[in-house]
Amino acid sequence: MVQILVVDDEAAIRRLVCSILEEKGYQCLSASSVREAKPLLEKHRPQLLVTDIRLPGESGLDLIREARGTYPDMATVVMSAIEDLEVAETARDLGVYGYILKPLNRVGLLITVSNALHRRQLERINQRHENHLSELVQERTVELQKTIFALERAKQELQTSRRDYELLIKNLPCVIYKGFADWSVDLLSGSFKELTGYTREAMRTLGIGWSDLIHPDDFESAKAATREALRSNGAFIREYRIRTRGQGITWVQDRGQIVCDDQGRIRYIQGVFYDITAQKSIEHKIIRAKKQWEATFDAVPDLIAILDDKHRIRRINRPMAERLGITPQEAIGNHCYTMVHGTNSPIAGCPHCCTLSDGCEHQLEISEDNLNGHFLISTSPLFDHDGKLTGSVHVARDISRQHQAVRELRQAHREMEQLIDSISSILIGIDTEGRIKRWNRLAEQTFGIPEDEAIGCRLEKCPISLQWEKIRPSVSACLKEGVSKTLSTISYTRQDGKEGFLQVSLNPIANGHGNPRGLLILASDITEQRILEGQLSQAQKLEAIGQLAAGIAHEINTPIQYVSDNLYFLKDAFTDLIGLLEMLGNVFEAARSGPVPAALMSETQEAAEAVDLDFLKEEVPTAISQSREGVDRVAQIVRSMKEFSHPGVEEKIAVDLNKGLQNTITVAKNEWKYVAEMEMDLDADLPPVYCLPGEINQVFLNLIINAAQAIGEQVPKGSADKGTIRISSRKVENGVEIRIADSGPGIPEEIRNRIFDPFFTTKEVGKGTGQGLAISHAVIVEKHGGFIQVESETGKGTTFIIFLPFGPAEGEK
Amino acid sequence: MDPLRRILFVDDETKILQGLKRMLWPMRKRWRMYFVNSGKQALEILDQHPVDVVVSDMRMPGMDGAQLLSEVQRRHPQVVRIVLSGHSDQDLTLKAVSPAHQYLSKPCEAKLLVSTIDRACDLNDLLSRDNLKQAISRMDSLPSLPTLYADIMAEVQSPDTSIQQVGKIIARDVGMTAKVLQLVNSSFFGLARHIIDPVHAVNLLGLDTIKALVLTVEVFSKFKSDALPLAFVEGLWHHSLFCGELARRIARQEGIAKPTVDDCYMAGLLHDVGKLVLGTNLPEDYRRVIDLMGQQPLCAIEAEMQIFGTTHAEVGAYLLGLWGLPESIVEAVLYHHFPHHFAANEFVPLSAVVAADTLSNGGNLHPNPDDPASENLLTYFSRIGAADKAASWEQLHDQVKEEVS
Repeated sequence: MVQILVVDDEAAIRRLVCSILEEKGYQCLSASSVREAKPLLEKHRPQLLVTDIRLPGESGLDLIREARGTYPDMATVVMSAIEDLEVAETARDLGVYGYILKPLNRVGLLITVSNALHRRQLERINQRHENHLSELVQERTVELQKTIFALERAKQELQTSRRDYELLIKNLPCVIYKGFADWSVDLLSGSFKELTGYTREAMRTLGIGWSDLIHPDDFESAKAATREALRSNGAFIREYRIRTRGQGITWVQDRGQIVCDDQGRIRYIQGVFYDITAQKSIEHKIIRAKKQWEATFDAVPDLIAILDDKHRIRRINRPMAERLGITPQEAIGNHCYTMVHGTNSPIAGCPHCCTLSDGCEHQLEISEDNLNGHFLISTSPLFDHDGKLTGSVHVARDISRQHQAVRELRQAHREMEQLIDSISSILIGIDTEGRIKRWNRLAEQTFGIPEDEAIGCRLEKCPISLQWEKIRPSVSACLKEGVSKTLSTISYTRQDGKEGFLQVSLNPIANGHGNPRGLLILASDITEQRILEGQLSQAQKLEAIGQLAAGIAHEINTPIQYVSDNLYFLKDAFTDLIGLLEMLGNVFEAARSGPVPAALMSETQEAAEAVDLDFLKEEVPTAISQSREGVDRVAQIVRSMKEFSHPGVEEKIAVDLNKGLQNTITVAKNEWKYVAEMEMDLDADLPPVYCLPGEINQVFLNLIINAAQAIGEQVPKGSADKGTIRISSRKVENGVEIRIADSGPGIPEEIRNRIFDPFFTTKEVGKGTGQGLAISHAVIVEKHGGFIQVESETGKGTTFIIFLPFGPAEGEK
Repeated sequence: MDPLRRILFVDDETKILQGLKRMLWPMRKRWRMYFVNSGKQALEILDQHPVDVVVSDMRMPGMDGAQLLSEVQRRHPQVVRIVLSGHSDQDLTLKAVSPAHQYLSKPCEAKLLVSTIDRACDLNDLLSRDNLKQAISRMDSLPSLPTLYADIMAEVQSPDTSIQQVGKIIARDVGMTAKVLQLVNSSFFGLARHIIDPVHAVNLLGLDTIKALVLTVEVFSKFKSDALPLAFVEGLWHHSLFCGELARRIARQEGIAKPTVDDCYMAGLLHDVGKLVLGTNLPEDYRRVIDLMGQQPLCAIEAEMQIFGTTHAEVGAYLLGLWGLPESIVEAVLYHHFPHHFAANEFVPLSAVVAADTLSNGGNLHPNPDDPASENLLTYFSRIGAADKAASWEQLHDQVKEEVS
């Protein structure tokens, strides 16, 4: 609101002026004198002073003069009834804006006031402008000074910065470039040479463009990135390989901005290359690791599922998918209990539930028919970055086989326990300290010590009467060397108080590292076996002798038959001859006393004819000689029998083996004479051999009988053809070699290596014990340290070769 | 007809032959002897000369005794086959069981050899018909009653068999008993002679030998009653066992020595063995005998004479003689219908058999003017001083009959 102070000494004029002005919206103050006006000016600072010049006291002009200095912004207008130029000029000089003549013209008043106010407004604006301008100039001057200073400093900083920048550019691990559409580049800076191996000059000289460095395989993708950038804001990031000067490959990341002209054509590309070979390599490693991890995840035979906290499958591996009959993708998002167990809710006690509730790992063995197996389930919790439980890794290991194996193992263990109890050997386990760990039923029975008493005892402290001195060294050796030992005959006292024999074998038990953990002692009571062996050997001897006995009986019966017949004949002959002699005596008597009566003569003649003297003359001497011969033969056989069997000889003595062979041939004559001729080639100078004659002869007998039987098989039934048995002896180095050869069919190749086996026989059941050759082998090899070999050719015959060393006494001679 | 007996000796040992020749020199007037040292030569002689008896060694190179005798059995069945062997090898002996009639062991006494050969030769006189002789000589077993045969086969194959059980079965069968007695009384298995109790005989042979004999040598065979009614065969067995038992009782009552008591039993058991022999070899003819007896009032020997010209008594005696059974048994078999023809004046198995046979056939030992046989019987019993025994023996008969039924 514009305030106007109206000063006039005439109240009417003041009222008039004020009413005109107030009517127009101005606010009017009024004063009647300068004196009145001054406090109002002071107080209200009106924008306009309208004053009469002539006033009581000081004039209006005085007021204006004073107010001008005090209130320069205040406009002034004077009113006067006098047209006084001088006053007007003074007023003008005082800067009065208007001059109103009285009587007042309303319009003139309003225009003058409006102009005055407007002028005042303009003047004030102008004044303000001037003030502002001068302030501005002043400000600008200061600013300029500041700018100059700043520029100075900036210049210095720029210089420093430039140096730093250049250093920086130079040392940056990247190359800043400016490239062009033709793939030429201006390499602005950076470690270009380090990156490419080329200097810029070399590039230029060699005419190599950037595109030449890009690996051909990556060229297309690099171009594509550029094209893509062109379609958007021109910025691109592309990665490709470049071929460095040293034929190396360097991965670079190329970040750039395409700058285009108004027509959208590429002006240039501003960009930077980084060597990202290292990152790439890490990236590759990470990719590879991820692939490996995924492959591993699928390759693990265990069924693995990653489950979230809502029992949903996030991922399963291939084996699990295969087991479920689906693909891994199909499983994702499904509830594990539905997929696996076919239920609608989690199974109570499921390890995954447990893990979800306590955040710990859990394990459980389950049997799941849907998966057809027995499983060990392990769950491990999964947490997110904030440590919140998000699920678990659920691993199901198919332990069906282990389970089965464990069951089988248990079964095997049970069976083994039963076996141990039922084996027909004593079984004792001891630890390295000699304490009993195992004691089977037979051990209980044999030693009369129950298992619970035996376990834990030291074996030697057990009340068993046993030849400890024979066992002890072997036990410690066995423990020390870790090798099995067998002790053939350990005598002990049986429960019935009689002496028995044990065959003991010691077997070390090693732990996994091969260190001895103890011993397993297996012992068999071989008392019966020993007795049987003795009996068997005896049986074989008896068998051979029994067979011989029949033959020898025949050999003896034959001469006895004819000796007896001859004696019967000789008795008859003697009786006849005595009768004849008596008659001749009568004739002699009669002749002495005269002529012999004819009757007596003819009677005697008849008797002589009846006696058949010619026959007797011829037959009696033969009968006598054959009888003697027969008796000799019997005596020979009996002698051979006696020498053959050498009863009572239990130690090795010096023996003439030729004699032994001859005796054996004699006693066995009946066995061979019907099938074979006997050829003998005995070394007359054969030195004696120290041996057990009875046993050696037994061997000869076995071989001769075998030879005869072999030939007998071949000689056709009813044929008179005979084979040959050839027996030879000769001295060889350190001993004597005997060969007994037959012309039989030979031993079939396939059984040749079995003929010395006990109980091996080709004879029909009931014929022979099958022990002859086995025992012969034992006699020659074990008892005499010799050897027995066989040479046989099918269809040609068999030769047994025996070598006997001269024997221990040879050296003592 | 050549009055000389022709004997062939076979042995591979020349000295044996020479010894035999010298020993048997005194026999030259009665025997014509051939001595050869191989089976081959023996067969040549047999082909060229009639021979009554072959005496062969067992073990010989080429053809052995068993092979030779089998060949003789095949080619010249009527020749009596005797083994003279020094062997005691059982296998060899088993081979001889079938082809040999008798078995002598070396060394063999001259007397035994001569008497054995003489007995064998004398058998010839028993039978005139060669075909019958051949048939009987060829027999190497006597058939057994089918049920008993089945029993013995089962018994010897049973793992639980016992020698007693086997012996009991054999003792109940005529054929088996005869065969076993052949084996033990001849020295096939080197046993003492004159063993007559089959159980004892089986004991001596031993179970293994019996098994071998039954299962491999097949000494027993089954009676095939195609032509003959089973009733006849069973009646025969029943009668034989009854007679055997009664003969034993009679003998025991007479205070006879134990061995002879056994002989009496055996003679009783075997007295009708000839019927078995005829029935087996000539079943059709024997059928006619049975028919004839049904048509006419004839006794068995009369009917047999009509059909065969001989009787079961001769036939049985011939076989048992061939097999070398004790003389007293052969005599009992031969004379059991005509005891008065037998020269002895003392109580012998024949006496017991005649009494037992007569009594078990429903006859008596009292004079019967209508029966000429009865007179002969009384003559015989008077001669042996048993004329007064009739009543006590009849009593024994009634006892046995009671026990059996």
